[in-house]
Amino acid sequence: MQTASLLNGGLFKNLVKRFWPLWLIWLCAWFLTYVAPLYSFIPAVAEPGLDLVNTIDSQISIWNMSSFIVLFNAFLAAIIVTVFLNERLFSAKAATFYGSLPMKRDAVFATSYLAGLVPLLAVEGIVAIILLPLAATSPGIGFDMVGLWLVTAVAFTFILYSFAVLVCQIAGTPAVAVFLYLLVNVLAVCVEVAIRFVVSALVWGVAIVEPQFDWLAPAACLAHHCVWVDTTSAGVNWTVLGLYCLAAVGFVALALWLCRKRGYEHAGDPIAFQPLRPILKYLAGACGALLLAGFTYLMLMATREGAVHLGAAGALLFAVVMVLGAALGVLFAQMVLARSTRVFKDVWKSALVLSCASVLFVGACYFDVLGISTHIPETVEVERALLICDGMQEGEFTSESGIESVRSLHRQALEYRQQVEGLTDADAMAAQDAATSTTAITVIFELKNGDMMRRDYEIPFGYDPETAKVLPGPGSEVIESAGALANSEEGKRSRLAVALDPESGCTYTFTLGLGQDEPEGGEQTVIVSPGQVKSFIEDAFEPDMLEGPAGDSTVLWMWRGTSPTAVNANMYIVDKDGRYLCEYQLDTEKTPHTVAWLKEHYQSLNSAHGELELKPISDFAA
Amino acid sequence: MIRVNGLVKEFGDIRALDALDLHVPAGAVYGLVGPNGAGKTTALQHIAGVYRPTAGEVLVNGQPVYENPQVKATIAYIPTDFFFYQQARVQDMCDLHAALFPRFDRQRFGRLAAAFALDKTRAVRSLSKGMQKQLAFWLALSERPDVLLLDEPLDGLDPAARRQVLSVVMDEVAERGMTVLVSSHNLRELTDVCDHVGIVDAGRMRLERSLEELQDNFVKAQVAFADEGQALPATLDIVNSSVQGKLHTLVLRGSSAQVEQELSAAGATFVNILPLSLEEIFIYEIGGAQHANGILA
Repeated sequence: MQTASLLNGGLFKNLVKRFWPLWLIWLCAWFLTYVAPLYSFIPAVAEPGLDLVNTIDSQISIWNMSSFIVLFNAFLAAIIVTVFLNERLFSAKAATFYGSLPMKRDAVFATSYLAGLVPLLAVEGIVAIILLPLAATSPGIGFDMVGLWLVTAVAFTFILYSFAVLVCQIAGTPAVAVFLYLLVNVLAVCVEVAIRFVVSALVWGVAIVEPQFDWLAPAACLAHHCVWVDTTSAGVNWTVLGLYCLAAVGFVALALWLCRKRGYEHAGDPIAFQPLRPILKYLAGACGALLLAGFTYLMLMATREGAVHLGAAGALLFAVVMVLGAALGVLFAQMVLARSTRVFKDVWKSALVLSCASVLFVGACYFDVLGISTHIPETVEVERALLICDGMQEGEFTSESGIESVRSLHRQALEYRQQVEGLTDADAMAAQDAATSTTAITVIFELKNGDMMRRDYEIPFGYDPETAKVLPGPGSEVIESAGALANSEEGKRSRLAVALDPESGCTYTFTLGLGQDEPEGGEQTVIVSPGQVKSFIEDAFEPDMLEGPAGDSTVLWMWRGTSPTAVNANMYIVDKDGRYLCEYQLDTEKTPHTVAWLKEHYQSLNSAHGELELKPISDFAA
Repeated sequence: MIRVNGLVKEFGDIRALDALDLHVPAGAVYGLVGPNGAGKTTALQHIAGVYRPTAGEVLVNGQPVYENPQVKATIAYIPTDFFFYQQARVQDMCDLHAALFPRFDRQRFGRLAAAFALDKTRAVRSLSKGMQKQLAFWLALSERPDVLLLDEPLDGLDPAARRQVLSVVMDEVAERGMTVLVSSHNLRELTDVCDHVGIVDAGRMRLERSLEELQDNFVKAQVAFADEGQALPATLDIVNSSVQGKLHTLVLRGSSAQVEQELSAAGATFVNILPLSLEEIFIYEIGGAQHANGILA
């Protein structure tokens, strides 16, 4: 054995041999969660009447579910193996033994690192070999899928194991190591989400969007970007996976650096590095404040429909909750660091600092000191503006006038807020209370500098179903503006671009009411044939879209109302994937081009019920 | 062989070693003694290369120990709690040490089996504390170290086992000139084996001598004068004194011949020189007179 080399063969063999139960458990975990379920659906060639299609479907279902199993297995194995193989970090006896060995610290680190990683990867290689016969014989699972599994499993294991090794260098007890590992793997996402909850609850219009900083939380980032979604590698962001593999090399380098800095005397201390202790205490307090606030928000969401926007009472609630969370977080952290429950005297200062910070944060949100809620970007700054109503994209605006219209709508939403917040008049309040509907309106500005600004508003409004009219009230103007914008030419053209393209493969279908007196009664469905689509779009749909209600926003249709000139016939359009695009009722005055086109081409239209003879109709039954 | 110069070690706010100086000659059996919390174990951990000094240096054969595999290969360290992994058998620990310590001698291990009557197939966790300590000695001595560091080595051993272990260690010292550094509270037994002593207190070396020198320079004398009220000579370096009638019992620094001469010259009618044990020297050196009278009474 060379005492001066980076690796020690004797120690490596001893560690691998000593912890053989871990490798066996790892192999069994893969077998039970993955190999056995897949193999249980091998088609027996000689078995007559076997439903091959269902067998393949079952295998593929298991395969698709297994993408998260890969990550889950790697996540657990990483920390378990690391804790066992790094006993020198947690036990004073082991630390003394390893410290007295005729080996450099680097060699001890490298040897124990590889003694954990190599068996983990070797087991995955064995599992891949076991899957090869399945890939060779199964029509559902191919070699490429086994290859995909192996690559992602190896990458996840390498990344999460290296991260666990880094975390263990900071901790001095297994419990703290496991806790830190679990926490940091999801912490960034949880903290970001909690901040967004608080800000969205107190700052008018701020939306809760997908976390942007999940790259700081390894497991969360891998789950979001690197698990496959079907039998191909679709869903695996190879760039993110590659970058995280590089980051894993960085984890190892940082862990080695910490190993050199760390004294063996800190084995058994909760946190091995003195300067990190106050940092972790404050971090625990900040996390406690935010997470308790996030939990409070979720509880409020459970009792209120839709998004939550709170006034002064809400701000006070969040402030109290965050102060409490900060105090609890600091107290818990100090108890762990001191390994004692008698720590109240030591925590009041940090708890006070974090409490003040929490109150300032809540105050800054409530009073919108940064002017987030009232900021509207200038037209010249905007590349593209989107309008979304109740989750449906109603328009994409790139022209100056279109963008200006979106800005105008945004301004109206802010004015609405000022109106309702300033309400003291009992009649005005009563009018608001009479609101019978709510529409979620989202405006998104994609700026020329690459940034994006999004605002969400819940606008209640009153609606009279008898007259199909929006009742006057604080929200009605916003709703009507949104409707007008969605149904502008630019809005319609952007929303219905696919429907206006004759090559897009959309289906254009008429549903005709034949009247109760007809022998067949009820409705008849006829489809515009592929050869007629171009004519239908140019001569019927597009003119009626530009001049009338054809293609109007379906989200805001409720007040479209009835018309005395309407006929009992509808046109609806779906795209080639079966997604609904639009529907409109034929009307002799409002959609004259479509009515005329239908009359002209009726006999040559396809019937959706091919065996039925097209019924003669005249001006359609009312 | 072992030289520690100005060693400082701080654990947070606690200064465990405060510029400790220590010198162990080659081939010596050095007893490191001191009260609880003096820094003995910390000093040993530094010499074994486990701890990184805050300041100062630790040299073995002129080479720094920390992160020096070549030097550490010549050192065997038996701490208070020796490390065994949970499911190990005695043979497994032999195999582990053979793989990790380049000088481990399996034949030596086999020959020493007679001295340490432990079943190689037995699980270590099933051994008693004393048997585990014997196993630690067995493994350490099989490494053929030039330096053997022992922290409370005899704790848990029965008298027969102690004698056996010490015998084996002393044989190694005699045969190979192995240097031994022992930290212990059992001063009576250290007296039997040590030829050098260092007394540590509050992280500093108070006294470091060969045992012969130490015993030669501390004496207990019983003195009687004709005149009951006669004062003792001022030239005497008295550490402790008590009087009963005409009989003075004195603990003095100095050689027995020098003390006897000075007392006779002062007119003592009776002088009886008694040797001091290491334990008594330690107590008087560290604890002071009151403490000593309380313990030795």
